[in-house]
Amino acid sequence: MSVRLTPIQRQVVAHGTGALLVVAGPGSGKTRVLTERVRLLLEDPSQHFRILALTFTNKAANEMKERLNDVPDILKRAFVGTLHSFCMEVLANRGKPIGVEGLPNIFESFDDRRQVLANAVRSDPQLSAALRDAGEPKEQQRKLSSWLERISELKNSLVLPSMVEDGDERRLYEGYDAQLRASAALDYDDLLLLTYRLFAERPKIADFYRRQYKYICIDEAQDLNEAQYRLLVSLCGSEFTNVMMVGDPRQAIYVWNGADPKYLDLFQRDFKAKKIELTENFRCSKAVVAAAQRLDSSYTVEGQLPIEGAVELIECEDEPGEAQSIVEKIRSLESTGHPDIEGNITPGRCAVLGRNRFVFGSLQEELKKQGMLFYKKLSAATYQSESDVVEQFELTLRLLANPRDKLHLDILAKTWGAPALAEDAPTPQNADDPMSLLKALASGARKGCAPTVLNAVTALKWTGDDFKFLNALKTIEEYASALPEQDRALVLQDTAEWKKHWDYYVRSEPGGAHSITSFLGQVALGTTQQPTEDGLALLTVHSAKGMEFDVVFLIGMNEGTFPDYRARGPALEEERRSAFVAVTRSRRLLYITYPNTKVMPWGAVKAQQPSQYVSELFG
Amino acid sequence: MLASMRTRNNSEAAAATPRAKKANQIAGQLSDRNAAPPAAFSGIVIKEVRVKNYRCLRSVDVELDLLTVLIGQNNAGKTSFLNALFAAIGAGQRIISGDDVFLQKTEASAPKDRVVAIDILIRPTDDQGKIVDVFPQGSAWLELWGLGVVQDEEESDLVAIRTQFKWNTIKGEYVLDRRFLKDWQKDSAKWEDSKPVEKVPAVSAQQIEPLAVYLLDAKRDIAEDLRTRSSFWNKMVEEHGLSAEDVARIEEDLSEINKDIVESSDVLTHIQAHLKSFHETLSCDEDSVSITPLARHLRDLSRGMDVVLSTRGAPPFPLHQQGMGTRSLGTFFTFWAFTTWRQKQGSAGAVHPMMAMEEPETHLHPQAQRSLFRQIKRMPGQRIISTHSPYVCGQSEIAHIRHFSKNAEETLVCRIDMGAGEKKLTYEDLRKIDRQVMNTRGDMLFARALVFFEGETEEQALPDFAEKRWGKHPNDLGFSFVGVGGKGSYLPFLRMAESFKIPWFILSDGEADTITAVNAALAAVGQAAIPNNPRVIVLPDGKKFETYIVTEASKDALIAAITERKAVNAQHLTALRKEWAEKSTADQLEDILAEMEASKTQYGSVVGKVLPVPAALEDLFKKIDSELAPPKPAEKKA
Repeated sequence: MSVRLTPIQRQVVAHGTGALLVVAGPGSGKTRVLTERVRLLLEDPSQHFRILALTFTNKAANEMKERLNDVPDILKRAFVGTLHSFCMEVLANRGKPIGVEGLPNIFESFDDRRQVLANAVRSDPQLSAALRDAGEPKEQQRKLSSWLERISELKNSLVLPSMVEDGDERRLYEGYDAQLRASAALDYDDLLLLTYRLFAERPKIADFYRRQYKYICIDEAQDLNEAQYRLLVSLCGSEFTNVMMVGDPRQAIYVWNGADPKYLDLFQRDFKAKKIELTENFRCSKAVVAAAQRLDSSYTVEGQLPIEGAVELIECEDEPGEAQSIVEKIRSLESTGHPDIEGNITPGRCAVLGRNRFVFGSLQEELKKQGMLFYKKLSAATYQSESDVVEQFELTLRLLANPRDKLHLDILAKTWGAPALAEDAPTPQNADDPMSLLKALASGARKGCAPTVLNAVTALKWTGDDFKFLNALKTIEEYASALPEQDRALVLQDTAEWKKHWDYYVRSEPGGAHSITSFLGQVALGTTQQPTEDGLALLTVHSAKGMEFDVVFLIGMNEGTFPDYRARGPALEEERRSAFVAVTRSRRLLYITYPNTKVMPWGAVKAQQPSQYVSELFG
Repeated sequence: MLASMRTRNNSEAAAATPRAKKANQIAGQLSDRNAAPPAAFSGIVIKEVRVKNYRCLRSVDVELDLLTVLIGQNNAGKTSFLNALFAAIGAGQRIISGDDVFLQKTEASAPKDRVVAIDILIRPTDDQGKIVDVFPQGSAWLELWGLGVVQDEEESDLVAIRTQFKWNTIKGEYVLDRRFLKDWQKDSAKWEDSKPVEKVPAVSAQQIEPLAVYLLDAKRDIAEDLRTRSSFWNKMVEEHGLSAEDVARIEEDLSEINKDIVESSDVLTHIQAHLKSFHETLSCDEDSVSITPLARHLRDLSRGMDVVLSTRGAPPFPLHQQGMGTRSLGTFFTFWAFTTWRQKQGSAGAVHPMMAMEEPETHLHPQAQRSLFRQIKRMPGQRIISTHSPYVCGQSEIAHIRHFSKNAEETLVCRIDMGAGEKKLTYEDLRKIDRQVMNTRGDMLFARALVFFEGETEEQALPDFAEKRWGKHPNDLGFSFVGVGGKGSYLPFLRMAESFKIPWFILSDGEADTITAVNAALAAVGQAAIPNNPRVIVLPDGKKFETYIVTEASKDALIAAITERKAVNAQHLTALRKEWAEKSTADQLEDILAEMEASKTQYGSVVGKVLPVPAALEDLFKKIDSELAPPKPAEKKA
């Protein structure tokens, strides 16, 4: 299978040893170049080494794996995954020196972590007082959220509690960690932090990975944060330089999360990396490129696709109107096609991008009304179940996987109104037999769906080594068939989602023992996300990263929405970069839409202005 | 036609073809007895094997070296051990059935939750076979096992593979499951604490294949192998690797030879002519019928392939007409060829030849046994030999020996106790045991009981006294009488006996410095000192053996023996007798001792025959009897 590469792309692919920085603009063939490099490096089977390819999202990892599945034994010869899943393996198998025994249980949900923090605060009088001072419960929740974000910031800067100067902040951080440990759990940021600590304290373990992997490739390097960069540096040690980083500072949209494109420069300096720029854009039509250039005047493209394309503005009266316009446009493209687009234009080749998930309300209703198939990826969080019974079932899964998970034990106990299993009830004997713990809880339940959930758990036939997940889902679906229609729909939506997770998990863990811990871990890390789905895509800019569509709609382009009204200074620059990313998702056609009025949550109708980008784009 | 071919063959032989050179080179390597053993260049060694619940091996832990020698009585579990290893990582499929699961005495059949497990520990080595810390970068093993490679507490690399056979109710059989383990427990009793490595699939057949164990069992026979499709022989020869041009050319030659033979034989020509009449009845061409004395196609040649061997001066005979010794040896050399061939074929490093051989001594003369063992030592890769031969044993190093014994229904494995800390055996200590014990008295390891003593006189006399006592030669009873060579030399022998749990006794001289020396040795193996040690019989009154047996009571018999020995004729005899009779008692005793001193060996062999069993020896023999009291009826195996 020969893939055509431009001379410059070939330079990147054929680069041998030594550090390399590749600055790759949108549509420059970044994924292709990465994939082909891995393929070339693995071509000679007499060279005994493996490759570590780190991507930003699981979607990107799965895509890369798919493209490489013609390489014999690709899964054995390369680790393709996110840095978080890499850390998961390191900690699960070699984490004993820093206290991690086996596959860690991850609390990935923001709500769960906030509850953990709340528990920590409750046991500290000063912090409790500070929280009460915040005001009403809603305000207190907000305060907890901001404290939680602060802790995440610290972890992402590799700051340990002992290094924090402010006494209150340190106790907050320590308390939070202690509560996590009490539930034998870690959070996402811990994966990086602990792996960094492990490599720093046990350099021989880092050395093991250096012996394993002769080459390391990192994608989306503009989105690395401090923790990730330093982790990579500690993995490489002082001698290892076969690192290739691929990124585009123009597309850095995670600075709000602690990332910084400066690490690209740091990498170039620290590793004495050669730099290659990929400045061609094989994806976007002339019109789209021109639009991108109006947003960022320094963006240049060598070698422009000779396709005109088009960028249009659609001004609408209100959000329902906006939604209708979009759907109409898609329908008309479906029927008439477009000279610049080959073949039939289906909704699957189109995407609607919004700055945040709130601009999609009317559109979803309109799509449902018109019966157009769509899928959405509007938040970074993994799917949240919406039906009670499945939510409760998830809690029991967590407890089976991690009997010491006090947090979710409490939540379940409260949900079921089960008495006497308060936080301080000792459960050491139950820790070995989570089934009997669950039975005890269920028997004391006064509300919730305890009997059904217990039946589902029993249907799992869990042996510690294996579990029949689909049996459990079937039990839940049978229960749902007796529910009123709307409730039933919710349950089935949730079980459908879980079935997808399970399907993906089973296919990606070949011949292994299936443990609930590893299944939930995969779900937490988002590994079970599929690369592509059917129908029209509804995406935020961040979830659209790395994707491309023939037709892209930017919805809700009002000043205050995009750019976000809160953005100032560097954040405002990041808004511009987000717009740049959004625009460059389109291959051919780009439609910018905005409503002139919006209905506020409290009912009032408010006039809206078009975004400043609109005037820049359309003169 | 044939003539021209012969010319070609001769000229080929004359020009030393690369192939001929190569053959000579290999032959040279094999015959160079002074060559250092080929480097163990595989880069790994299987360091330890733990077997749980397989046949009589309830829980057995065996450390392996590059060459390990298993000894022990029949049915002690040696073959079961080799079979367990084979079940875990052997070449070819092994199925476990209910019969293979360990059974307690009281059980009629094995409980279904009893799991058969075989854990193996692999360590990286350098190209001399010495264990190193880590797999080097670019190691083929690192690539093969990837994240299955883990680190121990000292951060050294290791690979631990657990093969389990668990009862699967749905399938109704024992199912194999093979995983990488996250660690290797130092304490074998905690083996179940080791968990599988996460996020890594089960160990695949491909990941085991390079260290597959090949079992050369006791029934091996190269003549049989030539005819068996699945043998090493066939594995190698079925792919002859000749190019298409070579095949065409050679088959053409064969065709010519066939024609030549028929044309040169009147009767064959005659038959062939008549057979051509086929074409009248069947639809075939007149020229399409021919007699082929030789195989026409190269692929058929291997069917008739044979090896022809001639011993010095004798005509060559094919293998199936050779004796069993040659035939069982043949498998060994073929296997050697097979492993070195594999190494050449495979990419450098990812092959670990592993041979398990039962009783290499089968059908072989003792000299041949020794010689074969030397060759086994030179083979590359890892070898496990089980043997009953003292010749083979005597050539091994004590550190490599593992002793299997049965304790009721389960097997126990012992090795030389290396001691710990200050008392740890040094390299010199081991060499001493090898030189002083193994090379001379390797048969010790097979004894039921051992008696140690210092001197040459005892060496000769004791077996005779023993025969007097039991009515049978001690060899028949499985007792070994071992002269250690001097009062300071008991230690290596004691270590051996203690490590391998062979009952031992010491007959010690009564002299003070002897007792001190013996006590030192006893202390070094943690034994009680004289006189509190029931295993040590000390000659009374500070005497040594000679002074003990030469007494007023025995002098006459001894004088008679001496004079008979020395006399050249009847007259001389009378004169000698007279001479001796005239000496005083004291002089007599002194002179007897002097005589014995001068020719210990001579008189040693006489003493046991002419004297009654002395008291101290009676004591010793009683002790041996009680130690080896026959097993109570309840413990006897049918």
